[in-house]
Amino acid sequence: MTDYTGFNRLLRDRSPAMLRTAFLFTGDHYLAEDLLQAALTKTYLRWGNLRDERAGEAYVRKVMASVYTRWYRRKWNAEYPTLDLPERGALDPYPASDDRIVVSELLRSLSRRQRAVVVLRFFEDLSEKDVADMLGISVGTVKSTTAAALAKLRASTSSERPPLRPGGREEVGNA
Amino acid sequence: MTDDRDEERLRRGLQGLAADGSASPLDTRTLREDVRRRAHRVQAGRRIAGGLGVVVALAAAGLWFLAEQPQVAESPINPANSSSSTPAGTVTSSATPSATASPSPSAVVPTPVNTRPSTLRVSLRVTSGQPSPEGGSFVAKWEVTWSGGSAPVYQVLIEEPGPVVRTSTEIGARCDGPVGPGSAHGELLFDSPGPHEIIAVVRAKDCANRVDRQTDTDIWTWSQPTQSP
Repeated sequence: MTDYTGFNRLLRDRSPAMLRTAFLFTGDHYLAEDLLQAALTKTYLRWGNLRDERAGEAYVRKVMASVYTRWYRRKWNAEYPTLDLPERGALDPYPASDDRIVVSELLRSLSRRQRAVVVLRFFEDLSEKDVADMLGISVGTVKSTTAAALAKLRASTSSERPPLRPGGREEVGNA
Repeated sequence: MTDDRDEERLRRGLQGLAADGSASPLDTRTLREDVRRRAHRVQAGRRIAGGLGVVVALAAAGLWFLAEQPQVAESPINPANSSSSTPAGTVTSSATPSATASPSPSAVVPTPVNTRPSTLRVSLRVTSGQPSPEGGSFVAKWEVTWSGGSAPVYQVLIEEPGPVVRTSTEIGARCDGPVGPGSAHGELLFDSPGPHEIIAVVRAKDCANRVDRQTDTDIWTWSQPTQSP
């Protein structure tokens, strides 16, 4: 009989953190919850074979990355209808300078695997080797993906529009 | 240096985005219930799939057995109704007529295909026939006789190695008909004088569809047929 006490504790204490990772993968709150739920379900089914809660959390993240990079295309590629428009939030008055927007644009431009590499490497702070193990790719691929992502980020930063001058007004339309 | 700054910016951006994403609180109790329900559904699905796998395997084994059934039934039939040994009438089979042949001196030794004992005995005799009116061909006159067995003979095949069926003669006996000796004969046309290997296959079948199959082989070479007085 498998004891699920540790699993319940993991779910209660670590779910919010894991949901943040799932959100960075999918870019959508509902899809993130679905991804987390799928990963937790797989972990629940394998819980008897996992050593402890830390191994359990690592397993959840690994499954999330795997499900996201392999299943995502098949399962969630359709349009996602919603009644509410995504909330942008109150961002910096100089939009291009807001890191969130730049990084959000960057993530959107990456493939799923590249996106997973970036999130695991720079949000989860995993080593290149751990990222490679988790995604089942080589360390070289992780390095090249990271370098490419940083290059894109640099390119998008250099092409940013100049910020508005304080008190100034942007001219739009025909003169 | 640039990389470090870019990395730092990437980290800041990811942190900010993650904070946006977790703005709405996560109901862990609901999540736990959902996970448990989903896991039980998966487990039930696996159990059903396992059960279906067993059913499919059994069905496949059954189909294989049924497919193999005629082959298995090629083994001799239990001599259940061997007591009814009413003589069956001689069957005349019509094969393609043609040229000449010589009486083969080859011995007619029944060659049972099955290792299991069968009471059905088959004998093939091939002789040379008169040349066909078209000429240029070699006619083999064959005669198959059989006796014994426990079911009525329903088919006689004349084959060449390959096997190539040269002629098939349906006896038309009912499965519950009389069991007894019988014969069939006909002619075959060959392009060369031979020697030719000719195989007679005799099949008997009872009402339970159990088939008894016995063969006899003859090696025949054409020779000028002797004129009968």
